[in-house]
Amino acid sequence: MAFINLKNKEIQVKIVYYGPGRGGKTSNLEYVYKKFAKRINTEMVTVKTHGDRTLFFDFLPFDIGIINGYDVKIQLYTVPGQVKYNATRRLVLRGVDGIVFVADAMAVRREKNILSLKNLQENLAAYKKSIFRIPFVMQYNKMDLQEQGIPLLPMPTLEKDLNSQLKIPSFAASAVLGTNVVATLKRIISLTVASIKKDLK
Amino acid sequence: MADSKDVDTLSTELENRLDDLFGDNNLAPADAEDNDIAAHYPLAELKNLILSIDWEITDDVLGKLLQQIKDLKLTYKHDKIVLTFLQILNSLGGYIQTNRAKSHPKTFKILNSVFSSLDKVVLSREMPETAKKKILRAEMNRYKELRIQISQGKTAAQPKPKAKPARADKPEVVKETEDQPVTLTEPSVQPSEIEISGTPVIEPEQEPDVVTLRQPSVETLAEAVDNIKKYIHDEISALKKEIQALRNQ
Repeated sequence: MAFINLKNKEIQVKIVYYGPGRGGKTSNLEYVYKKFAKRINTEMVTVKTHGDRTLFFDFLPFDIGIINGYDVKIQLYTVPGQVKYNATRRLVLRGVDGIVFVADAMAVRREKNILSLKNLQENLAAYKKSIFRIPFVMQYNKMDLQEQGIPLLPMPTLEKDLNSQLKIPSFAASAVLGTNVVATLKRIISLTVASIKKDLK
Repeated sequence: MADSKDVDTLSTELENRLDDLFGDNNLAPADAEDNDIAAHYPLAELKNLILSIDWEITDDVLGKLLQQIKDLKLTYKHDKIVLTFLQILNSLGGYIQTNRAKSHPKTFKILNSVFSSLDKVVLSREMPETAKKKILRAEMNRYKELRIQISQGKTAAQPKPKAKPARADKPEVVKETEDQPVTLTEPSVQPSEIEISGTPVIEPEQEPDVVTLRQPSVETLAEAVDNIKKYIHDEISALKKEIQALRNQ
């Protein structure tokens, strides 16, 4: 549940970018941060391992201003994707309001995507949250690699693997080029804020 | 009806606000300078491969890593310091290729650390030779410590070792430069037990089934517990260092 301060009319929305390691979660946030730094006027916090991999999480907070009388503050987080960091992933999911699942469209990553999605379901269940009910957007990242001749999974396969049951909005994206990064973000913010508003009633 | 109107107003207001924030109007182009630097970064491929090993150890990645090191050795054949860094990386790569997941847990940290120092040395052209040597010496010491730890670990685990290939047990001595083929005997990644197609990816909204696994032997379990303990210890040490570094900033 989002942090809502009725007195100050302030809502903090927590959105987590989830997905397999090296799938592009951090790249999503980095793109947003680099491209819109002046507008969102914030700092991105990131803790990395020796090899530039996300160890804890990345954190990008920004204010989107007054919406319907409430000052809406968005907090974007990523989780470490490597299997071994599940405790950290679970911790980052605490109090999550919306999720973007960043799937890796490379054919060799098919199994990793599936395992990560199952892992998300398990970790949400630990907080008594259902993957079917939380505001959720799917992103199929690394579509730009097709031009380099790297085998990618076709969209229908990705949809069948990851979205046949969820039936959530999905985007083919390239986090490094910025393709559909903003569209994904806008969609998850809209879904999450609408969900919070509904819960408030 | 009133609710629906309210939600519509909210959506419109939110959409407009998001368009203002994330619209393409008056935006500077993406960091062309960064891309330019990346394009001329000589260690880019090596970095990618070392990061890949952190994620999974495969024949393909290790083969590319060793080949990339070989190529860089030619590029830097007149730079003794860089060459020595590359020799350490080559030795560690060969060791990982032989031992895979059974490599000493510190190997991957040292591999990353050596690369990080090499990166620093290559990118800091203004850095004096003495400073470069100091960094190299620190990495050499870590590497030597690792060799000793591997040797000690082997002796403790197998007091009476029978004839076995020396290369497979620990990293080479740095002075060695020739690449020798190593026979791989173990699979890199355990195949997953999930079915990719034909079964639902996520569980429906009900209690998940208990996954049945093959019963591992007591030795395997003990080894796994030991590995986990070592791993947790290493991770905590690394985390402490990261926190300390952040505090110092």
